Amino acid sequence: MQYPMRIKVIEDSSGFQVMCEILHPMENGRRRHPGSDKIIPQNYITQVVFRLNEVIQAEILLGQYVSANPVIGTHFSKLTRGDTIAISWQDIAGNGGSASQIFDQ
Amino acid sequence: MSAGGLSLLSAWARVFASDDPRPEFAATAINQVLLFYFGTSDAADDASIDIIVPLVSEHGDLVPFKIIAPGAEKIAVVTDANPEPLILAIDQIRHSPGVIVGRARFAQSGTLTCYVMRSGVLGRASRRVAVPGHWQEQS
Amino acid sequence: MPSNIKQADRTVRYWFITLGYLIGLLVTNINLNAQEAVPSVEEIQSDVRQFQQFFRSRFPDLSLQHYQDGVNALPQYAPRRLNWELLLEFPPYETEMLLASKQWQAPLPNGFSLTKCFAGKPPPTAYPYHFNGRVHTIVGDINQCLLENGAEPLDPMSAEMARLEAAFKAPWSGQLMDVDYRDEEMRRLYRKGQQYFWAKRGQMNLSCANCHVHNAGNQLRGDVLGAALGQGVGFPVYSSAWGLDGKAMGTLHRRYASCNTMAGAAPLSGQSELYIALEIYQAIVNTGVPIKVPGLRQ
Repeated sequence: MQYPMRIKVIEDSSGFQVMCEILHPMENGRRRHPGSDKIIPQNYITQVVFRLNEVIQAEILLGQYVSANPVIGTHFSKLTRGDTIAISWQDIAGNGGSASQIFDQ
Repeated sequence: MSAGGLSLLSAWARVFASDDPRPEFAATAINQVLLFYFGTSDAADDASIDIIVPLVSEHGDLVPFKIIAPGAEKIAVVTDANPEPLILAIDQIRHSPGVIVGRARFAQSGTLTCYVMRSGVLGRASRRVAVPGHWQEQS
Repeated sequence: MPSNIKQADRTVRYWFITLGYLIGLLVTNINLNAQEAVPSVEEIQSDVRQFQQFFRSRFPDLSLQHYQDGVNALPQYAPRRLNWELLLEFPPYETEMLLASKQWQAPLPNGFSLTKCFAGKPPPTAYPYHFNGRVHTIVGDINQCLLENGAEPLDPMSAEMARLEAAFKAPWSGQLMDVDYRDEEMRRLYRKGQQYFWAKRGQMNLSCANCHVHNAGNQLRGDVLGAALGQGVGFPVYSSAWGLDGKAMGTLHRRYASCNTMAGAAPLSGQSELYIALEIYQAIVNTGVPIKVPGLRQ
């Protein structure tokens, strides 16, 4: 299942804030289909890994209590032009995705 | 079976009631979350941790927050508003300050608490978040 | 007293009360009809000045520019402003706007496009306007363009229509509202919209003014009421509440309909004459407020 994702880098007080938005429903397995008793199966992102030039910078573990279409971010102290930022994710149903962006500011 | 044995059984049953295979995410008490994730639950208040979260959120399903913790190695964000407290956690932080930006689901008004591990010491900071109306479960 | 006299007495009393009521009705109707159906340009200018002055004195720290953010700008909203500010770091409407610009540029069945249709039209800050016997709103013009070029018109309350309208308006963010009301039809509709805005309706017996003028900044249950000044400049809006239901982008008329429902009044359909009149009234009193599209609201 394809879930689109986007990366955004903004400057913060001591470096850069790198964020990603993954258009994922983050189903907690407790909601039902509208008008029926059938439960919508559990499917939420469990892990998002941030890499800079292929070196892991942070690993974020998510649970069912993160909002749908999650926006997850962390801080990178230093980014130079040409660096590759890669973010990959996995969910509990076995899907995964990744995106990368070359820093050009 | 003794009463103590029965209560131990029900405690484990509660831990595994959530389908999440990770014990820190399935745990129903903050102490259990800390033990599973950090290995210790001894935490002290730490004023250097900055939690940026609105005092009143607009929706329980979308509570935006940002944690800034200088020198953090591991961070766990929990709340007493949900059946399972752990919202998200960050590990292998290579940059300082450790920052985690996210958007949480709160089942009701509660306290957003952040636990930060630095050099073997667990620090804690919390902020109260009011949530108008309950988390919508569409039927 | 004999029964025939009692009967006569009741009849006289009945007719006395009825006639009195009818005369009273006539008198009040005469008073209402004395109000001008078509205000002059000077009257409207004075209305706008008064309306904007009310908010300037109610919120002395806010300039006209602040009202483009709606309720987020009000001092009473301060405990919740972080919701909006944190969401703005990675706005949820960006994905919608990417889709919007793709849809705006997509060729229509006969090869024409919305870009070409709107090339000769006034800027969004001049909408609505009256031309050729018809009042033009952006939503109406989009549907007219689609219809004339072989495409299906869209539901004016749909998210797709909101995206197209946002694709047209977004490049003009920052420009000031400047609707031309010299035309007599525009002034007639201004009066109609003004009456709608200030008239009470619904089970709750509320007018738009009750909440957004008299109680702007006050709390209504769990919400802070926004100011009427600037309402509409942020539309089409990305609403987090609508987003949680799957239809995040919404037009101004969709918001009017939900406001009507909240007051216990029957909502009207999108692009109905009364909603267009209300949109004209609000666009005129917003003269000088910059547009900011898409707005981000809760």
